[in-house]
Amino acid sequence: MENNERNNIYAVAFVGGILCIFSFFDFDILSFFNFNLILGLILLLFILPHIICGIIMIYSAIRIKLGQKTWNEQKVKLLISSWLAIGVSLGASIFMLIFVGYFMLFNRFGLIGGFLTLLGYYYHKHLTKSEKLSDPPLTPEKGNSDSIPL
Amino acid sequence: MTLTFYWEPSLYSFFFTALIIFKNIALILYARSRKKTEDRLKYTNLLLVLGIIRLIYTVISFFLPGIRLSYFSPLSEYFMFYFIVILYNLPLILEVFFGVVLLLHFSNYQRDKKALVGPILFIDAIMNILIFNISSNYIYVFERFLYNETYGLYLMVHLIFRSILVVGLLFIFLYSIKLNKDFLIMFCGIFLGVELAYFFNVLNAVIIEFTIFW
Repeated sequence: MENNERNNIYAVAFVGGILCIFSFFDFDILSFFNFNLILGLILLLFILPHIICGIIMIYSAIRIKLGQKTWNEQKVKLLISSWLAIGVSLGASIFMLIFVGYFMLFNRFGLIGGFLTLLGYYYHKHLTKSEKLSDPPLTPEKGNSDSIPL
Repeated sequence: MTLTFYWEPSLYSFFFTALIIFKNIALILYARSRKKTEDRLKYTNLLLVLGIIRLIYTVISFFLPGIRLSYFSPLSEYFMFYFIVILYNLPLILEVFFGVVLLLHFSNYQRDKKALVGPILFIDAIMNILIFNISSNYIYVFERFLYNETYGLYLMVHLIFRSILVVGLLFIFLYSIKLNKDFLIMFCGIFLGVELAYFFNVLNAVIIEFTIFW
């Protein structure tokens, strides 16, 4: 029962952080630098926010796991970092559309990490809301049920 | 025909295999953690065994041979190709069993019909991918001069089957959040992440293919 009562939603942020940090290894940097030095530097600049977001997510997940912070205290930080990861990856892909020529889905893992954390956050919010609605017991209606004679 | 190792050492492949190994270890840890609390140990033991087999396969896959065929290679060289194709379809056959075990595992201790949608979609997609992979490899042999013509169609059908798999894994991921199990969330999240990355990769290839040829 204790396992069910403990909030294990921190695992979503942990997974999102791992996927965001993995975006550094997703593309071959040397090939981009060989193709164009300035383009490679710009792409490296696009990846830095993902790594920062991933570190924030993992750090907050570990703090929730250790019991130093709660999910509600860390949720704003997680939301900002995940939206930032999605926004930066989509912005970089638009940049590639303009400068390279086609819509290249740049930095998939940052996009996926942000998407999964957001999905987990909103689904967990939906679940807890529905539980709170069903928490108070239903009061029986007065009149009809008592007035019926057996 | 040139024989090489399937696993090539690079920064990307090293960390990607690390991600897959993390996924399999999460499954093993989940099964071990469930063994302490659960009464019915049949399916949790099966999950543990499947996780160990998957982990062993990922370690073995470093030493598996890779193959590169040209258009004009003779038909006798394709027997090696068939053997390697069957070898690489083995994890898909294993994942069918994994889906069945997951189905039984969920149906055991939670009487929720929505939980069974994910594993059913998962099994359906894996079966489709398995059949399609085998059949498409045979088509490539007989129409190997038309490889460039059929490649776009192949990618599109592959994308459709993979999208079913992603949706099934999405259902399993959401249900693991509902169950509030941390190891299961990690396993399904990493699995979903890897599959989504592959899905985006194929999507990108389809876009490039159709912008070049159409």
